[in-house]
Amino acid sequence: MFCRQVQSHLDDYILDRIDKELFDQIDNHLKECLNCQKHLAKNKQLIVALKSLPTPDPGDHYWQQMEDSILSRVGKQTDISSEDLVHTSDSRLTSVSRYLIPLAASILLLLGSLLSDEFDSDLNMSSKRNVDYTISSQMYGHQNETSYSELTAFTALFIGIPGSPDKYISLSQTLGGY
Amino acid sequence: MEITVKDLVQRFIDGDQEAFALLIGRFKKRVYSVAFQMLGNHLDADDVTQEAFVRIYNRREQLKNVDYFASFLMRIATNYAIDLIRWKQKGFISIDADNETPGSPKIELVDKTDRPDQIIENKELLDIIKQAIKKLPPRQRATVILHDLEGFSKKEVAGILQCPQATVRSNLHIARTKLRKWLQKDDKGR
Repeated sequence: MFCRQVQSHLDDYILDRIDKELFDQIDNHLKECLNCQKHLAKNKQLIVALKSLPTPDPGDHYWQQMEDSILSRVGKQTDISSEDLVHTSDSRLTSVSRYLIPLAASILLLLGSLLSDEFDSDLNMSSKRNVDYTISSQMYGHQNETSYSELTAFTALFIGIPGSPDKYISLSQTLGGY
Repeated sequence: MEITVKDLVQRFIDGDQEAFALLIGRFKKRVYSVAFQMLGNHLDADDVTQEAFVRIYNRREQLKNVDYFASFLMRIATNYAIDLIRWKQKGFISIDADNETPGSPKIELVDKTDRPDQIIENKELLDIIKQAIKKLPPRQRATVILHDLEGFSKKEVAGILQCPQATVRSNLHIARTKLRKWLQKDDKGR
């Protein structure tokens, strides 16, 4: 065997991880080669030192506790993931409703605003036909207020603002007046 | 007849909790030992051991493509231990592998005796070796511990640390050279 080959197997030779045939070959080489003997001595000292480092055994009670702890952690994770699934679907619903209500309110506001404009233009035409300019202005002001009340009540009714039924009633009365 | 690891792993993948418990029983001491040597204290070793098994439980689907359960488990444990070491190093003193820790105790090095194993029984000496190992960078430390202490082959260490065998050989050589140097320094300084 060549020195290079021997040195590549020295770790395994020290740690007794090679078959007998290779072990004997290295052994024979080492008897004759001083350089490889030095390599062996250098590595053996350190490896033997490292191998002698003890790992404390915390005892059977600890091992049992650790095993229980791992199984408990794993069990909890499984429970949590199931809860997470439920919780996630709940929170999705909550988040949907959280965004749906303002969206509905915004659509209603927009519709109300459009209706209001249409109502105002009808009123202007009516004023020009039937009454003089002063009365028409008063009527316009009154109607304008009504249209905003209508809008507020209409929106409040749908988004559930407290007190909205009163406003809705006053709106109905106002509308009834026309 | 004892159930093979392969069978246990298959049962574990199929959702058998008992198989998982049996795997913990078989490998816990080895994982703990590696973790203890790498981190040097019981609390961290306990943390790493538990975390490794919890992580492997969460990744059990990946085990379908794993040939060696022990290597995969050790990979998870070692990676976590390396993260822990790096985290601690960032939080405390930056350990420079080429500098001797000031005030470290001195050592009676083993090369003066024909029977080093007897000398190493000395507790002080063991503590000094432990301190020297702690000065190694995390991956070199893992390499030395897995190969020299725990008896994994270079191929297995390469699998655990996910690097080429040449890197394992190189890390092993560098780590041993450093350890020898530090231990000899301690010896001369005494």
